[in-house]
Amino acid sequence: MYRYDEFDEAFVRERTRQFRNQVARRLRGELSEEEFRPLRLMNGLYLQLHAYMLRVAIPYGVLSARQMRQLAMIAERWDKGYGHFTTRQNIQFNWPALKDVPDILDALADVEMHAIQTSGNCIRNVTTDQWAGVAADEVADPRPWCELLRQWSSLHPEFSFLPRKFKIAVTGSPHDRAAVKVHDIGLRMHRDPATGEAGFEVIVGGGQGRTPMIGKTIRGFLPLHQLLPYLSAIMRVYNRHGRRDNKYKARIKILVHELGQGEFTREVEAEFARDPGTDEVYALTEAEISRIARHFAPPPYERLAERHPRHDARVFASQDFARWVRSNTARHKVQGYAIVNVSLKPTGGIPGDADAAQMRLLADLAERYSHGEIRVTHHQNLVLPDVRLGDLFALWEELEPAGLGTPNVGLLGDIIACPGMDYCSLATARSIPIAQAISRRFQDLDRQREIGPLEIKISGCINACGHHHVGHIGILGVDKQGRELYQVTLGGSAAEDASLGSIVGPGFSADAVVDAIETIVATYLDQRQDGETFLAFTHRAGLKPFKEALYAAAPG
Amino acid sequence: MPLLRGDQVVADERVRVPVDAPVPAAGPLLLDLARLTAEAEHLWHRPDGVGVELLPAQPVEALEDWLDRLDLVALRFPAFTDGRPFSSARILRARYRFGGEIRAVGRLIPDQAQFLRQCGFTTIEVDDADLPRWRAAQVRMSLTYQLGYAESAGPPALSVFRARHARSGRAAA
Repeated sequence: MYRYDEFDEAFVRERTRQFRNQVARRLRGELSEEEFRPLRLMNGLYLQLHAYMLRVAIPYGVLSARQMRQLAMIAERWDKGYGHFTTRQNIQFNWPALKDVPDILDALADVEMHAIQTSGNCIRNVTTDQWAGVAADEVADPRPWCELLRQWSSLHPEFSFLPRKFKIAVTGSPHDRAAVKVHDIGLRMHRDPATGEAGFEVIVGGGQGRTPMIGKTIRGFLPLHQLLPYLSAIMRVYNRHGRRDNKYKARIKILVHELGQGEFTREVEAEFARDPGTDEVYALTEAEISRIARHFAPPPYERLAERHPRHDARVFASQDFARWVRSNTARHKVQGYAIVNVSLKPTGGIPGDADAAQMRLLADLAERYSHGEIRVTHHQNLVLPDVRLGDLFALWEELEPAGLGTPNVGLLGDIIACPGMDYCSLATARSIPIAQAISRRFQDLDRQREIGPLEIKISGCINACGHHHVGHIGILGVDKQGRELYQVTLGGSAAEDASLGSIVGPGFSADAVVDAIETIVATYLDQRQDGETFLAFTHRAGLKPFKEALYAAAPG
Repeated sequence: MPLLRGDQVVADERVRVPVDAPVPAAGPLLLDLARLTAEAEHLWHRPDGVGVELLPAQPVEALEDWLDRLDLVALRFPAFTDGRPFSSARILRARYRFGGEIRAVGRLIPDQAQFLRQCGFTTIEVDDADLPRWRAAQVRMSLTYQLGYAESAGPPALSVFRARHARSGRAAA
């Protein structure tokens, strides 16, 4: 993984010193909350319902064991002993005291981490495929480009006061695990079929929130070395012309929509033609990317057989282990290795939460079994990317008693939920308790396996941090005359077949929503054709069978 | 209001001309775009300099024909969160190679000083009462990852990419 050089180190230290000074001025009363607000937001510090919340950047979701241990230390020393992994591959601490935040940032800097640009109207932490570099279907490794973008977007002098926040996602695989079509900019690496040269498909104007939209491709193939000038052109068009009169219409998706895809593309291409980058920019980009790429050279893989007899025997002998292998491991690009997905969704738990002991255990296991590296997924799970087949059983035996072995990745229990009204000042309804209730109702893992791939995503308000628009089943909590009401959407997807869910009908109370999910699942199981997933079924059958099952029997 | 030019405080000598008043015969001017457009042809003989102030929605492209005769472009920030003038300044410097003064006016916060300089601003209009805050908050980042920003204005922040490149060049040599 990427390691800081002395420049990166100095940059983060300077920024931390600067913020320590700002916090001191605030604590002495020299800065009002109004003046302090933009400064703290630029350093990831929010004021939530009950306390400050610090959002720490995990660049493109990659963590070392050492960094994970430091997060555990921070959770214990300055928070309540746990942290919350988010849909943006970051971690949030929910209870830090303002006076401690500079020390927390110093502790982060000690392990090459920071909270810069995890909030505010700037370019946020770049996200990518949690299996980058190890996925069997990968065309090109997106991580060096993510790191280049991290550096390029850090304290950008021109693009730090945008109309609204800005999120970039990159995928290097045809199967999109990074949700690139629902980001402000999505970059899909692929190869020119004629020349074999790698480049980017540039997708702009996707997003969720109040006005969900699927991104539009404005450039089918962009040569790699032109990435920074081309992104600068997009950012400049957005910075100048994005709406600033209404924060709900300020994201780039609205600009793309209002100008139209054609006109927006012409504006960007014209800007790019005027400022296409110089030979020096291209040369430095190439020098930088090859320097960065050396940090992502494959670890020293062993030459292993495709199958491991003892592993196969254990799968055969233990049903529990077999279930976990089936749902929580994935094919690795190197023979004899597997990708392990660690579920942070135990039955009845809070999606994405991990306590300090779990973080330390994962750090140890990563060192023992996975070249010391851990990934955070936008599904709020973790990944150990490089595990030998022969080690899977031992690893599972350690994960299981720590509550980290729930075999539900990609299944119904693997629910995404925003923090909701339990933490967030924007929320209009609770989401965590709904996730917990659904998870408990469907705790039978064989039943989850029978239901098959099914993504439930829950947001506690229309800002859609829980990605409900792109859930196979989406649940949106709203406030209706002082009562929480849950609106259900069906058929959304964040993958390469990106689509937005459709509202099935009138919403449900908190008490009734779990029964509604039960009815929806039963309808699917009853009517599905051979091998048809829930998503495929909703796209084929539409809302009608669900409407009939949910509402026909209702009195009156 | 005084102007901050680097670390120096300098007086603003520009004459702002009210909408209904005639342009004075002498002295350096700061006009709005409408006035500049209306009277442009009568201004260029003046020895004392002509400047224009743009609102964020007024594109710098409107100045294209006059840039070689203007010696000041002031860009107004109606709120510190309105980042449009950063792009305006960058375009003036990088695309039009404008060499005159670029002045930031309006609502800004001291922590934006470095971004302003990097995008090509040379002066910042600061309220007298705020001068100590601007000075106190000038804890500057000495490093920047972006290329092509701030090389001409004030002490340049060190470009990380360029510094790395120079170092690896030395290592190779």
